[in-house]
Amino acid sequence: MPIFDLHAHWFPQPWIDLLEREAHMNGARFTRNSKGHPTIDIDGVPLKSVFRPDMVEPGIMLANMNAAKVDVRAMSLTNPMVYWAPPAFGLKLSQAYNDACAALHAGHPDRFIGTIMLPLQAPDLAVQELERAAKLPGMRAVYMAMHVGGKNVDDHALWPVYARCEALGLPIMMHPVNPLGIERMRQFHLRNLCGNPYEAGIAAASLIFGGVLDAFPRLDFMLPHAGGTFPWLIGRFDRGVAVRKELSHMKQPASAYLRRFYYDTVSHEPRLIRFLIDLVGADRVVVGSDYNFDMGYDRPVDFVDRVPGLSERERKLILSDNAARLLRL
Amino acid sequence: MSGAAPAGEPPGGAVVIDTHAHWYPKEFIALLERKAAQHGARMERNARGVPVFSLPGVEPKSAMPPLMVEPELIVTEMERRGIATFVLSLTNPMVYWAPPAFGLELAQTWNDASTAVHQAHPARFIGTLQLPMQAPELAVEELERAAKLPGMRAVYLATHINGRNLDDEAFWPVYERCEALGLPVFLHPLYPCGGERIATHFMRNLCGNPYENGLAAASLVFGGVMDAFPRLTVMLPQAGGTFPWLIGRFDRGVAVRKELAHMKRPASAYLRRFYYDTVSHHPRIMRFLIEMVGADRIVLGSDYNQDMSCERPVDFVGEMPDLSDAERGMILGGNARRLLGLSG
Repeated sequence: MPIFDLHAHWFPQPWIDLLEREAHMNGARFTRNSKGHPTIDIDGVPLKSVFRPDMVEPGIMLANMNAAKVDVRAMSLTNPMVYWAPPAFGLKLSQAYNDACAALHAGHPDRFIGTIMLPLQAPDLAVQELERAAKLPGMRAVYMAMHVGGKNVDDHALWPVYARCEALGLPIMMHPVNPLGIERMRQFHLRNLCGNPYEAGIAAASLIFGGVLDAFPRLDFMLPHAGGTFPWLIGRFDRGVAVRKELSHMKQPASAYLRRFYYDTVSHEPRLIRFLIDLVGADRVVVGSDYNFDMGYDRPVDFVDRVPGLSERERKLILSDNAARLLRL
Repeated sequence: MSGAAPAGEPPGGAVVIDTHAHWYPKEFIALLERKAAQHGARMERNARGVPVFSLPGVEPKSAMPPLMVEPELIVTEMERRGIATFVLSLTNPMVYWAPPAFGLELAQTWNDASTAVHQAHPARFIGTLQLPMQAPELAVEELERAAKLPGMRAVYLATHINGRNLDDEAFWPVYERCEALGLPVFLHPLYPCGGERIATHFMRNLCGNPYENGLAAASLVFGGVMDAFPRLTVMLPQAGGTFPWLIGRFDRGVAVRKELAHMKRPASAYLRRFYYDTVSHHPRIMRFLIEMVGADRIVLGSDYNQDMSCERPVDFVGEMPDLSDAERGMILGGNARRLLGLSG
């Protein structure tokens, strides 16, 4: 039984090299910190990204996977993604990422799966790159932030991308960037602790209430951080559908869509995953680690084993079967 | 509070107390109608003649329909719902938008009306204090005055004060006096953060309000308020909003982040410093919450009388899975009596 981790981040060296060469022409500053690690500082992006060796070098990543008892990782980009860039550079960054991912998979086909990064700030270019990258070996999902330049993910400009993802059988794995409400979240790491899971609630609500899940009935979405706030607001969402004119277009309660999503295990609370399983089903929960951030799991498989009342069947679904089904492996 | 419990006794004899019920006293409305305009706000009447308050460029507007104004109508509605006692509070627009002197006047008017409605219906209505938090020294002054009024058993605060989080040290003198006076602090969302991102699909309410509760609880825990005032109790509406569901993430943050290196205990150690109402619209989520925080920390709420309210809160408690009779009694009224320091 191969164990999958679907929430792991990677900054490929060719992608960093591209930033080093061209970021300064595209509104960003590439520098190195005191440890010599590359960093990128982008106008309007509060979080400064640091590219450490453990999130760059495949050898270190493999050693970590072995220690963490993870067989296969789906690698994804994270902050700063590529939407901040002018469209042409966003496309170039996406291509560099996708090519590197396919090469990583080709080098270690049993260890790494790639997720496709797209320049969603220019949906036409995104569709173009999607068609190209979907043909690359080992690219089994599309990776997408929970908003694109402040626009929610039900924006109709993104629907051609959804149409192609559905047709190509590629799930969309979501991730927060630059969360809302920053003016209230400057202290205590609240930008991450609250802002990131808040983004998941907004993204799920937008996909449900904005009609994306109805328009693309075979499209799967994965939410990180155990769905963030979304599952726990579902009663409130259902009440909204029942009584509010803004939601009078809804034909089903919001809770009917809970199982249209997959949820990773990055909650840091084993009991919460038990509740989540009871709410959405064990067949909708997949392992995540948020490799290799301090807010992630060092030992994501050990965490699964701390979930109370987990049957052998549920354990196998979460560690392996669900991910294989979601990624159509 | 004294006297026999009125109608609304469920099996088991618990006197049902609804801790989340909103009221706009007619004196408060009249004051707004006289003076809101001169302070930059607007009072108008909608097509049904209902007073509507608004601030320029701020959503939502505040409609004040008769069911949220007239005590006799409210009592009739309580009887229909099987509620013995309402803990009445103001909701949006609260009073922080106003210049300090007018904020104080609004707060005084609300507090005086609250104590008057309690005295007219002592078993029916408990009041919560409204304070002009935009001027903490005036807030303390009004707290000292209003805490002495009959039937005022909690302080009501928004989850932020004009964009300032609740750990702002300007507010600590208020917390200090709340603790000394033995008054719990009841929180409520107001004009949530998120702007354009929550402007569609009613997300301002569906997401924004519970997000506010998480931010407020995190601010009180991480900002040292719960440590500085160890006997202060805080009530979170909407079943705690997002707070209980982020607790693993908060604990991880305490364990690894330099921004939280000052924390002496994990965030989860503070879960039971809060009470949580039942307005989740999901009985199983209430079961999960009980397992997280304990049944002795859950109090019935309805969010009377907004459309997002729980219209049959007693029935809703009955739908919670695996609730013992003792737990049910605690949630329907026992916990609220303890929280509010009510006799019996």
